[in-house]
Amino acid sequence: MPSIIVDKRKRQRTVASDSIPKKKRTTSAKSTESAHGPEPTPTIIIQLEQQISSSTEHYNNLVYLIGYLDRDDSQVALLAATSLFRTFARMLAAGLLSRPKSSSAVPAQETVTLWLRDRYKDFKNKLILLLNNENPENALTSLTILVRLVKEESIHLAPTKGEYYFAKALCKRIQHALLNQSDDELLLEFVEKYVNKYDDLRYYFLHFSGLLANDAQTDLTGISKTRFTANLLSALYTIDNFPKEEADIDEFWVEVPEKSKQPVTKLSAQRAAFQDSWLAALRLPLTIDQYKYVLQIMHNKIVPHMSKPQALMDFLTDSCDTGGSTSLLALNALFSLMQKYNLDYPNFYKKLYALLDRNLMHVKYRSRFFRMLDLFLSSTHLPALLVASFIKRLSRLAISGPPSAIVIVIPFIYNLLKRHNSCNVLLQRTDQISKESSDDPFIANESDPMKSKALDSSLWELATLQSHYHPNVATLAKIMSEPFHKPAYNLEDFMDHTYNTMLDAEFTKNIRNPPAIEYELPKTIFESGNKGEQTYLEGWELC
Amino acid sequence: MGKSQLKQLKERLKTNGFTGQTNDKRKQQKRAQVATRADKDQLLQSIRDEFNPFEIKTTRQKHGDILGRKVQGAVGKPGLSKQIGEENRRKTLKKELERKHKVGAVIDRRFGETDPTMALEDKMLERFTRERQARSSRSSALFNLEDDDMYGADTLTHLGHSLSLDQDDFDADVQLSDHDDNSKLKRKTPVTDGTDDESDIESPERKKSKNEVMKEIIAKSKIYKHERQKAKEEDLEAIEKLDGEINSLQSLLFQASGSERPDSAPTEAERDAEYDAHVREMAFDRRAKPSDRTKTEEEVAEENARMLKELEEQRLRRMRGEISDEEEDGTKSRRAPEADDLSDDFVSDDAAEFGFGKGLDELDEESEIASEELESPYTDGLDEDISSNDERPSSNARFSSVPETMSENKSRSTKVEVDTRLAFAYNCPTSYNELQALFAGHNLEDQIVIIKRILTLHHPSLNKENKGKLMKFGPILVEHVLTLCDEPLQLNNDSFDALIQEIHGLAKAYPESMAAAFREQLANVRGRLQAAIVGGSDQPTDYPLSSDMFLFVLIGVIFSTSDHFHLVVTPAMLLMGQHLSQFPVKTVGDLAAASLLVQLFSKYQTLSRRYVPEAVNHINLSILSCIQRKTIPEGFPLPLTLTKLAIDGDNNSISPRNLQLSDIMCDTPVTSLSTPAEVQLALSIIKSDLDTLKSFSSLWKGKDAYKEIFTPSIELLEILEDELHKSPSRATAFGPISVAIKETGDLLRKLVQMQTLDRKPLALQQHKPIPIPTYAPKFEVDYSVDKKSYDPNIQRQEISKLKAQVKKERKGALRELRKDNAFIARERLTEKRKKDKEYHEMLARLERSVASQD
Repeated sequence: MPSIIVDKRKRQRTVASDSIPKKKRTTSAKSTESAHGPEPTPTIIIQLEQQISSSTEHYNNLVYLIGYLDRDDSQVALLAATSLFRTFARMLAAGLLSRPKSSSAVPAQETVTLWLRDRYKDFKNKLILLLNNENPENALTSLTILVRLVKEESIHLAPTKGEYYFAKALCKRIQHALLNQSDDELLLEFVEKYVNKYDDLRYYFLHFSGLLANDAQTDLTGISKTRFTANLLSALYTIDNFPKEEADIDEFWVEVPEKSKQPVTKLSAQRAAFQDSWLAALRLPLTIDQYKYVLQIMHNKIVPHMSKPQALMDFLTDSCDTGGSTSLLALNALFSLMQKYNLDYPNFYKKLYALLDRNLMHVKYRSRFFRMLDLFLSSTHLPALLVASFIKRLSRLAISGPPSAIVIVIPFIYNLLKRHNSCNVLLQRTDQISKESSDDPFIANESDPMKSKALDSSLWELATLQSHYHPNVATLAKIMSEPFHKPAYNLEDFMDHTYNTMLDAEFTKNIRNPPAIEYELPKTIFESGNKGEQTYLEGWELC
Repeated sequence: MGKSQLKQLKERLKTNGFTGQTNDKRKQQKRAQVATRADKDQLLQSIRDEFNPFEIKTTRQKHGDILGRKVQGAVGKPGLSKQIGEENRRKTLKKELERKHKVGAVIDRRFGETDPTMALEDKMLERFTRERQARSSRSSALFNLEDDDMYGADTLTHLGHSLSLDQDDFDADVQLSDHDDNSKLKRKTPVTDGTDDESDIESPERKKSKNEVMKEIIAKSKIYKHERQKAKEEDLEAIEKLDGEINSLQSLLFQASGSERPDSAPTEAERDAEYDAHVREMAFDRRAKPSDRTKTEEEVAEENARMLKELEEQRLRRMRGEISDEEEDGTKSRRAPEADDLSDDFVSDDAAEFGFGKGLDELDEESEIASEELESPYTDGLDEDISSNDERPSSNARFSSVPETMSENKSRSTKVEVDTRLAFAYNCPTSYNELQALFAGHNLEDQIVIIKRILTLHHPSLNKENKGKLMKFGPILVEHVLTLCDEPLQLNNDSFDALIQEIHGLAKAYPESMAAAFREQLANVRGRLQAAIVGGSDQPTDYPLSSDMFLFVLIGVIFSTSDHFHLVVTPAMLLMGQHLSQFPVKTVGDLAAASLLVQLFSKYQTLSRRYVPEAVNHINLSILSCIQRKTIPEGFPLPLTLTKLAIDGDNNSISPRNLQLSDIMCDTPVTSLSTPAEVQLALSIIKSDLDTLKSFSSLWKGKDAYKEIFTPSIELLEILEDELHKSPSRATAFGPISVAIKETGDLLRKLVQMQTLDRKPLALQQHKPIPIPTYAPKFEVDYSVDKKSYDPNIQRQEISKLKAQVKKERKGALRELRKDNAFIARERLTEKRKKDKEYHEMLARLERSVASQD
């Protein structure tokens, strides 16, 4: 193949120099003669192509070649596509496809040009249809041809010579076709091969994906919408190599003239396009997994490249309400926005408080949650009422938690108490002893941490955990009744414990001293017929 | 002024009366009165000093003015002190140097001869008094009877020679050595005073030299040795003679006792051996000891009571965690952290301080999140350990070996005629297979008899190896019991208890090996539990087996479950906790297993009354499984998928029964209970859970969070009661346990109310506040530069004083040594030069003489 192409190129140059069609043609008559042309074989295709380049008489061959694109034989279609590409590329270079000026001197030539342009359009339509071809090779070839056509068009079809021009329409069509495909393989190929490499392609890709997403929001429904969303997101994930400085924008698919003020070369424009596309994508209905993934990569992949990260606020507040680990991730992103971009979000702690739900101690993201909670509550300027609510609720949760969770909660509360001295009343209350305060004033189902009256309560739960069945947990809980000498516990040491790690620790202990044996056995272990006997397991029979 | 040094000196001497006219009598007298010789010397010295200002050196202080005080630098005469040092060395070190490598010397031991400080008169006086004293002491010894041989007529002799008189002192081998003792030296020293005659008279009484004494002793010992040898030889001769006569003597004896004895009497050697053996046996015989008198009944009771009390005290100490492994080893010495401790330099891992093992390895955050959703009971996937910790203890021997051994066992029992009669002696089995073979064909009663016989036969007092055998036997028995639980056999309660009894006895005797065995079994259960949790709900698992649950029962029965930390019980409880909170309940059997575990938790904590969150959570869930309402009270974790007990229809005829170990193996899904038997089982399980809840409610009385612990259960029970009350169909469905539900609810409500009444706000930080370490500046009102130390601690002050002294002395000594070395080197050099010079002179002389001859 390569050798052939080289041959053709040589010929192309020689041909392009002299032969320009001058004759007017009755296209309709010719096309009716043989609508489908000769039976396609590789040689014939090449012949047809050569004929076209040799003289304008054979322009009708274009119709045949375009017709071949529909053939089931993939080889034929491929060959036809490549030869068509070569032909049209030559024509574009020769200016045969340029939009005829209104005051054209030669009307016949204008007709030919218009006819050729129609064929060219047919060719593009066919190629775009080919993108959906089951044969990946065909689809890939058509993609390659299309992207190269973008280049050719941008170079040769500029409305005014020498001005920068980009074939936006074609680009948008390609993107539209790719985004609506059933799988994202070709799209990702496109992104990796072209979009990540060329700064202008990326710019236009982002630009159009934003527009397309907005369209999809209104036009698409059901499965096609979810498909579109998934495709768009995976494409956006794949975009890396986003420029950090303006100087990084230096790779162009279509050459940009020096000193031009095109938005492509501007970082701000690139960022705006990036932001628009993401915002549009996030406005689409996302699944929980997509939410999670987006939230997870948000702080290091999305936010830094956005021109106005505050725009993510809506999305984040929405995802806060979804519950579970999604909310946690959303809160994390929100927090980083609050920290770095001075975002104001008054309900943050209320939302956070709501995340301390009944299953928190048992879920997988527990340690991740506590890491973040530690970060969120690290400020010493938080009101004591708020901190007390968090402490009280955590200890409430700890009382039904597994040992591995209790192990996190206790040093966590210790650190909080150490940080907020005014919360020490939760452990040591002398002023109310005389008062009749038998019931817990804490309102467990109050959603606002400022109104839960936790500061009037006591941490009886932690006192109870001092007699936890696991000796180490019990010992750990005893720190609550010892003097608070230690400045802070290193939470990281307590985070990643589970039943399994605890069991591992137990099983690796060596037998140093003989373990204590019960002095006396119970009379019987299982319930037997005779009543009144001391039984170990009441209500259980051996068999 | 302006005079020369010499003139000044002269003038000075004259004014002080050292020169010039001395005939001025009056002046002289006056001067004599004032100036003794010493004063004169002093005066002279001062004059000398005055005229030699270069002798005195002063160190200039850098800061001459300290706090308005003028501080003088040290003043000294280095030249002079150097000279003195040199002289001293010449006197001592040089002497030594000259004496080096020389063996003998004449040492002047006259009193005070070497003491330069003594005046001559003093020396003479002292010598005289000594002389007198010596004489007087001798005269007193004259009448001393004890050393009469010194003065008596008979002098000491050796081999007939007199030791004293006939030898001249200087003829003998008296060496001029340093080692000789004082007496000899004294004798050698020429007596200075006129006591010659007396010393002549005294000479016969002189003490013997050491050399002589030693010789004498050696000679004596030789004589004695010779005599002893001689005596021994004589004895031997006599014995031999007697031995020769023994035959005749013996024949006489035997003729007297009985001649029917065969002639071929055992040879002498045999008899000797026999005799020796007897003697040895007797040596090993236990000596008779006074036996304890039989105790009266009261005494026995008292002793028992005392022992029980002691045991209980020990148990309480263990429960409070006062004896832990670490403490006993003394490896763990935690100092109380102080306020200014940096957290990182104190203990590297805060969690390790509390004995938690290593946590999960830091997972990649993204992967952690990505693999977050799992099919596990809780909303977002349960504990991460399940998915992340793939390696689990490999399936244990029991479960790999049991099926084959069982099949083997069965085949044997069918094919081979098994001898079902009991033997009296059995070998102690060393593996489970051997035990299987031993027990083949015997029922449980017989097996117990066999076990008892094995234990008797292999009592450790019988043989040293028995201990090891029995240590292995215990674990095998445990395995046997567990296997029994899985077999669908009709087990007799009494004999089963008896079997446990044997295991208990072995555990008491060999706690270590038993604990190891139980830990192994636990590890095995753990492996399968994890497989079951990870495998999710689809895969059929071999967990929980009846034996798994019975293992926990066995641990509860055999080990002391109230200990703060226990090598077997703690992991067992953790495992039970993991089961309760992570194992998804699918079948009625699972429900029964969980119910058993919950009850076991209450049994484990009977004495120590510790709080078990997992147990309450499980009971709450099992109550919840009877409830249809969607609103669920807060306060306990909720799995993602709630299992609802499908109990309906009229069940009033059914009454809850006792649960059985085999119920655990029931594999009917909870959601499709069809037969009345299954419904009955489900209801019985719920009832059992309620009973356990009741026992917890009494167990945890006095816990601060009593209300918080039980409120969810109360609310759930209320909802259930309400539902039963409102819908008659459900009332009939839960008819058999509606009373129990109501009772439990009422009891809990009452108890919670009571417990909340005496709840007080916490006062955990009652101890005195942590003092902030203060470092107040030290300020002395009457500060003095001269005072070396203001340390209030006298002891420390003394120590620092001593230290300073040592330092000073050390420096001084080092300086002296250095000077000594320099001196020695110098001396050697001069010596060498001198020698060289002599040599060269000699050579020159020789040359000259040769030249002159030529």
